[in-house]
Amino acid sequence: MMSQKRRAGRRTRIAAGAAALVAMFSAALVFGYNPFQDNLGTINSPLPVVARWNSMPLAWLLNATTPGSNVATPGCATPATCIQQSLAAGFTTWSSALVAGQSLTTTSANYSGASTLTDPVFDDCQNVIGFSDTNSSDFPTGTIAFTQVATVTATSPTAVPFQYQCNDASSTIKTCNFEDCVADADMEFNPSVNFTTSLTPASGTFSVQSVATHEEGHMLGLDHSGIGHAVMFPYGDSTAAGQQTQLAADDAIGISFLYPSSNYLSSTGAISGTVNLSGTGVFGAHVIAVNANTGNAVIDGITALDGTYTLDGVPPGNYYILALPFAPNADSGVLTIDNFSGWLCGYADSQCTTVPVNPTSYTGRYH
Amino acid sequence: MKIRTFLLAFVSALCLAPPTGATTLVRMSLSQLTQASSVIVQGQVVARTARLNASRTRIMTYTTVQVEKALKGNPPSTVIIEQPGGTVGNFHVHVPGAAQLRPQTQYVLFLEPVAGSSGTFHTVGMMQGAFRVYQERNGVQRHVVLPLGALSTGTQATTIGQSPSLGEFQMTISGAVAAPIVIPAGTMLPVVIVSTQFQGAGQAVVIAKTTSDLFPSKAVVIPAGSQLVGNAQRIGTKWKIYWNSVSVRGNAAHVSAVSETSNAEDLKGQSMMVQTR
Repeated sequence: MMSQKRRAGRRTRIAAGAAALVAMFSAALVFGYNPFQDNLGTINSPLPVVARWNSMPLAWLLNATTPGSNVATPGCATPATCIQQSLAAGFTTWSSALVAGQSLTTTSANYSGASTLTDPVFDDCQNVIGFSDTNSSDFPTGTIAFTQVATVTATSPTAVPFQYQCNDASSTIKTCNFEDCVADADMEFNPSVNFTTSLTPASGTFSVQSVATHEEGHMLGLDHSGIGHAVMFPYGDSTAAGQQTQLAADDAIGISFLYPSSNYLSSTGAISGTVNLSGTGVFGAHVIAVNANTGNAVIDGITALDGTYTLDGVPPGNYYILALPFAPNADSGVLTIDNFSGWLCGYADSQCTTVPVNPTSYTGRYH
Repeated sequence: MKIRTFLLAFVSALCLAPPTGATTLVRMSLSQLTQASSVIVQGQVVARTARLNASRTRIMTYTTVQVEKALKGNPPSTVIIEQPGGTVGNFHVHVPGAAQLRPQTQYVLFLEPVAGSSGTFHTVGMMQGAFRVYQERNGVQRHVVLPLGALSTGTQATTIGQSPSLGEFQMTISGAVAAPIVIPAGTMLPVVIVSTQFQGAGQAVVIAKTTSDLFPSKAVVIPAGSQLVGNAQRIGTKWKIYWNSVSVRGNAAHVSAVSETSNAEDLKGQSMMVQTR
């Protein structure tokens, strides 16, 4: 059914392209990290391209002059400064991301001043974080915070680099050296939710730094991850366990993929192979690398037209490869899996408590 | 193999972890989704368009849903769902967590009104409030895709990805709609008094609104703006308010709480924390 081999140094976009395919066709959660993508080309021959900032550092502004009483700043003489520090700590978490103990990313962000904007503006190329959004449609019940990320796309693969215009006071012209760039990202905390700059918030209150770390992942170019213990997993609560500020391996690999350091490729491996069914390569199979020692799902991707896949940025270690088929057509329902050993993980990778005995042995069927 | 669609609702179910993470969304139970909804509909997406807002600062997407069946409330025959994000010109605005509603596709949607807008809604809990309906392959029975797989029901099992039939799901929703809302004792309700109706000397009916989204238990949600009603008595230089009900999207729930103001000034506009008994 499946062959695999391990090799280092080859860069592909299959992992990201996988997420793009999923986003295009089903818009469901993917298993692992998931960069923002857009379609390059016609709707009939879409080419998913990954959006990333053209260069680092990411410059961000803060409107901290108008947070309401919902933002507590205990023990803080200057609330705006403490809020800024909590936000900066979140960005530091991303720039300090470690993959197997190594720093493999050039990610960085700088606070660049105060902003008076209360609501997001999608095309001013100002990356504003605020607490006073007045748009009533931004916060359905259950929304703690949100980030809107604006991307711009080249007209064709050969039209790179390309330029775009910001809707700011001086109509700034910017250059994108990729096929797809993040042009603007704004983050808003819900004025109807209680926050605190404390890292040990009371029940019913959310840590500014914890929420910001997740939202800053979006600002940097990451969509939601399907891995439950990742910072980029979208759901949680206001319990202590829900106040995560540490990256999971999935988060660290994702940000390193987007903004790799010069030693990214030489310090990580790649797992590649082919998914076959009756001797024919399977297009669109979901391939997941699972750490054989911890049961941690580390990275995922989708097979190409000929059934081949390559998972990049894989830390050294031993892995199982789990291959799951996608629905054969639009009328197929949901794939269910029986006899699956499953995984139980806490907020940190080290807290995975169930090591899969043989996670590649399962029975799946479509309904 | 012909690939026309990828259904990955099950993959999140693989993550049988407790809800942790640095989050965007509070994970909401079906009871909470139901309570926070003013209407729940089963319907089909018939149109979708993205356009700039009036001040040209936002891209908003408007999705029109033809209602096939109302499961809560009295919705019009078509409802319009407003969401931030979409594509206009060369700019694509992504809002992670927003429900991706596909054209010509059926959903069960938990909807709440957009404040200050007539006739438009958004999905409760963003993508948590959108359950896609699909037809059993080679069959007639329809099922719903749980947005979070097993996570949405808190199930931890070796069989994952199972989805309820549409009929079963509708019955579950009906049960949740009919269930009384029980506010746990000790719930702290931050409120601001919005109106008073004086009933005579030193007596008044007081109406307040909650100022924060509250999740006092896994089964209860009190959205910001929910109305709290009580009776106030002037005692000396203070007001004593006996709170007796809170309305969650029009459904009244009993509360028992007493608040006391620090002065006898006009009650309207006063903010306070109400603790239920």
